[in-house]
Amino acid sequence: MNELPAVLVSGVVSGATYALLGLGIVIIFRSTDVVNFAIGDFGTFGVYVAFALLTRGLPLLIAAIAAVGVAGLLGVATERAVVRPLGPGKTFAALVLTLALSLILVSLAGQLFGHQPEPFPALVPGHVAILGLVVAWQKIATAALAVVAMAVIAFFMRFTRLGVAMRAAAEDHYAARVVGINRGLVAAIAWFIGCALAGLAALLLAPDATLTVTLMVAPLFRAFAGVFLGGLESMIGAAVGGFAIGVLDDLAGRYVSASFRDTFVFAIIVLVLFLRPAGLLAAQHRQRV
Amino acid sequence: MRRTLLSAAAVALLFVTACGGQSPAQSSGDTSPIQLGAWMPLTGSIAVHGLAQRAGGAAYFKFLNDHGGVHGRKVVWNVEDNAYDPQKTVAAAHKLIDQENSIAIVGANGTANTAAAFSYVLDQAQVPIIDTYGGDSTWYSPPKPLLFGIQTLYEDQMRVLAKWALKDSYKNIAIVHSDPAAFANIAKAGSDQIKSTSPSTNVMDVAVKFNTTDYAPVVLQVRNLHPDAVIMILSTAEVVAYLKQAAQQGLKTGIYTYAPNSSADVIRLAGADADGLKSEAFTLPPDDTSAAGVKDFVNAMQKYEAGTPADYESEMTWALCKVAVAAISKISGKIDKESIVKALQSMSNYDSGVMPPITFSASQHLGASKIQRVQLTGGKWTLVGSYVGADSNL
Repeated sequence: MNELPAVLVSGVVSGATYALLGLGIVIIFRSTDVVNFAIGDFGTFGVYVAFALLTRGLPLLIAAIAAVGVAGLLGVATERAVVRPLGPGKTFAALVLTLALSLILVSLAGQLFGHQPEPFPALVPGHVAILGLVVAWQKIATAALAVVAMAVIAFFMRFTRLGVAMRAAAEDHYAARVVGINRGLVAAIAWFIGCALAGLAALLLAPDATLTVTLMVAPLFRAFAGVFLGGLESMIGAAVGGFAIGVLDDLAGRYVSASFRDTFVFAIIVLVLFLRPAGLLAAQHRQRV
Repeated sequence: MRRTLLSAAAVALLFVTACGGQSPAQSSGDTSPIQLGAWMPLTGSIAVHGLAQRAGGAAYFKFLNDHGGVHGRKVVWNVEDNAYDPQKTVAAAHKLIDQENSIAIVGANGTANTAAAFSYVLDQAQVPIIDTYGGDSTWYSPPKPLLFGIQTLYEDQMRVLAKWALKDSYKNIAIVHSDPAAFANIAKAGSDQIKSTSPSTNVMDVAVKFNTTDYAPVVLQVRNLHPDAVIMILSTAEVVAYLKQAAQQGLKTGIYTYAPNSSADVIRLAGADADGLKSEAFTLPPDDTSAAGVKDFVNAMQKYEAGTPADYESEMTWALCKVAVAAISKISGKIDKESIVKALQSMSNYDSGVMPPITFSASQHLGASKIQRVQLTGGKWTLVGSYVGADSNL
C-alpha cells in the first residue's frame, strides 16, 4: 500500500478531465434539459482544428484558443440548428440527436483530418514529482483548471443575472419567458460554455493520449459516470464526481485488477445510486402524492 | 515453296493467336476483373493499423494491374471497414461475398474479427480466407479446408521474445498484455516458454483492460513488481502510452514487443521514449531497399499511396496479397474458389522477395513460421540477426 499516495495523485489528475467534461454536461442539461452525448466529439473536433492551425505554423496559444472557441461554437450551432427546432420538452429526441451527431462528427473528423493518431504538444511542458508519482505539469494544470472552472461557474450561476436566468429557464421555460428571460440567448450561452469546457478538456488530454478521432470516447464514458455519481443537476457534484471516478478508477486498476477497473467503478456507482438515486450531491426532491 | 511458307506462317499465326503468350486461364476468354475482398479497421481506435495495411494492399494491386494483372485480368480488391468489431466484420463479409462477388478474402485484419466471420465465409459461403493479418494456432491445427495463413503465429512470436529476453540475461520478466483472450493466450505462451527454458526466472503477468489510455496505474503496478524486463502484448496506441508513462515515471527496464508494433507510428508518437525498444518484424525492413522485392514495394507505395509511409504494416499486407496472387497465377483453367485452394496447396518455397519463402500443402495451411528481430535505435528500426523461429536457438 506504500504507493497509495501516488495512486491517489494519479487518480485526481486523471479525474480532472472527467470533471471538466462533467461540468459541461451539467451546464447544458441544467439550462436546456438536454443530455449532450456529442459534447466530447465537439472537443475533439476543436483540437483537430487546433492541430491543423499548428501544422500551418500558428502559435500554440492561438491554436488552443481556437480549439476551445470552435468547440463552443459547434455547441451553439447544434443548439440553434438541431435542438431548438425540436421545441421544449423533447428530451429523449434531443438525446438521440446528439448521439447521432456524435457518430457524424467522428466520421467527419476522420474524413477531414485522417484516422492516423497525431502527436499534440503540451500547453504546459515539464514534469514534477508528487508523493512518489511523476506528474506532467499539463495534468496539474488540468486539475487546477477544473477546480477554477467549477468555482467560476458556480459563482456565475448563483450570483450573476445571466446565471440566475439560466437556472430559471431550466426550471420552467414558460415562466422564464413571462418574466422576460431570453431563453434562446440563455441556451446559446449554456451550450457555448459547456462545449468550450469539453474543448478545454480535450486540449489538455490530447498531449498525453495522442490525438485521434476517438480521443474523448473513454473520458466521456467516465465523465457521465461522474455526473451520475455527483448528481445530474449539481455542478459541483458533477465535478467532484469526475474526480472521484478518476481516483476510483486508478485505485481499482492498481489494487483490484487492471482488467476489471470499469467493473469495479461502475459497481460502486450502482451501489451509490441505489442508496441515493439523485446522486451524492444533488438535492433530494420529495413530492407528496 | 513460297505458298508452302505462307501456309506454314498462317498456321503458325493462328496457333500463336490461339495459345501463344497466354496462360490457360486467359485462353478461357474471361477478361472480367477478379474480385477479392478484405475487412479492416479503417475507423476507430485500431484504425492506425488498418489504414497502413490497406495502403500496402492497395499499392500492390495497383502495381499488379499496371503490369497487366494476373492471367491478363485486373484484380479488384474491395476493402470494407469493420471498425475492429466482430459484428461489423460479419456484415462486411456478407457485403463482400453477396454483393461484390469476392471469390476469396485476402489480407483481412484481425484474429477475433476474422474468426467471427468463419461461420458465414468458410462454412456457409465456402469462400477461402487467405493470408489474414492475425491468426491463432487453432486455425491451422488441424487445418481448415479453406483457411490459409502466412503470418508467423503470435504465440511463436512471443516464444521468440521470451527466448530473446532470457538471452539478454533478464531474470524478472513482466508480461504486460491486454485482457481479451487473444492477447492473454499469447502472453501465456511466453510465460510457459520462460518457465520451461529457465525455471529460476520470475515471470509476472499484468493484464490491462483493452484500449486503456491512462497508463499511470499500470506503470505503477509494473514498477512495484520490480521487473528488469517488460514484454508488451498491446496495441500500438497502448504501447506508446506505456512507453511515455514509463519514461515519465523513470521506470527503466528492457522492453520488448511483437511484430504488429514494429511501425513508423511508434517512432512518430513515442519519439525518444521508444528508443531501445526490441521488437519483431514479419518482413525485411522497408527502409532498406537493397532487396529487389522491398524496392518494388517502396516504389509502389511512393507512386500509388503517397500519403502513407512505406511501413512494416503496409509491407506485410503487400506480401499477404502478393502470395495470394502468386497462387492465382498458377491456376490453369477457371479461376474460382476451388482452383485457388488447389493452387495454394501446391505452393512450395514461394519467395515474395520481402519475407521468408512460403510453403503450403494439403495438411499444412500455415505457410510461415519465422520472424525477423529488430530494434529501435536512434529513431530507426535496425535488424537483429536473421530470420528465427520459435524452435531456433538465438
